Amino acid sequence: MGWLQRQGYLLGTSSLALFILGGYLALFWSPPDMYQGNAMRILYVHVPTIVVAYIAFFLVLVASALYLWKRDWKWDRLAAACAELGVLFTAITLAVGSVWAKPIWGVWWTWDPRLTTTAILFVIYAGYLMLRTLQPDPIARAKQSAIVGIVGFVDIPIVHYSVSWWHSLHQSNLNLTTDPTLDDRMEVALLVNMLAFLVFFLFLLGQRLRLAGLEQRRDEFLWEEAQRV
Amino acid sequence: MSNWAFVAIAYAIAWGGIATYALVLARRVAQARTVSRRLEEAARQEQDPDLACDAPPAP
Repeated sequence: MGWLQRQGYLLGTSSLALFILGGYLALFWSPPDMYQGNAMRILYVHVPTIVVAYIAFFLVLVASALYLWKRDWKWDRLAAACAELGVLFTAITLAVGSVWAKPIWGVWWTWDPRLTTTAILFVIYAGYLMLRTLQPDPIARAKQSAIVGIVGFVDIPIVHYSVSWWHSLHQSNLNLTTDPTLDDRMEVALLVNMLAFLVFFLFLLGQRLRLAGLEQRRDEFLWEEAQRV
Repeated sequence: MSNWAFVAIAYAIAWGGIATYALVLARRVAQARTVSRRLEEAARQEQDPDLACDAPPAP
């Protein structure tokens, strides 16, 4: 985790370069879709943001379990940082997906299984962040939020497989390696954008962990001062 | 609205959202660093009263 903080400059500049390249590939280089036209270009940001959100919530699960096992504060800090970033990327996924839905489906929002379960995912982890804000006792906060972080992850497979389990308006899950109908340029554009969002996620995670470390030092200092007074 | 208008809105939301979050995060880190430094300075001054800025002048 210290590596992420030390390599902030490298991760920040790499992600910026990848975003410029990814933007060019997505907006100008890749062809429009046969059915969706240029609206399909929205998927070059929609898909990477939800993939990054999945990774963030998986890290919340792992860090929460490790905190409950080891009782080491660094796992609690990692879970909190990943949850915040996961909520950010889920919110972007929902908003961008809504903008894509309007020209393609004719509506901004519909209570489709994939959309509904993703909205529930957003609410679960927004609740996780609220819990962290509202619980004043740091030990109880870490324990309770770790439990929510583990239980909340149950929604991820439901979101992912919702398109297979129920009749859904949403497209089925895309398999980049086996889908013969996907143009190579679309595949490259999607992969570059996915890499850009992933590297930027690591950059943000490093900065968010730095903030969590500073805040913990401040809280410990204030606690020691209060004990002395 | 043309499809390109929806594309522009979507990219503005995605890139604008993460850029705004990154800026707010950078500000939070800078503030936390300042607070941490000031608290450390205050702790040092408490341990060594000669360093205290608000110590009364020597007679």
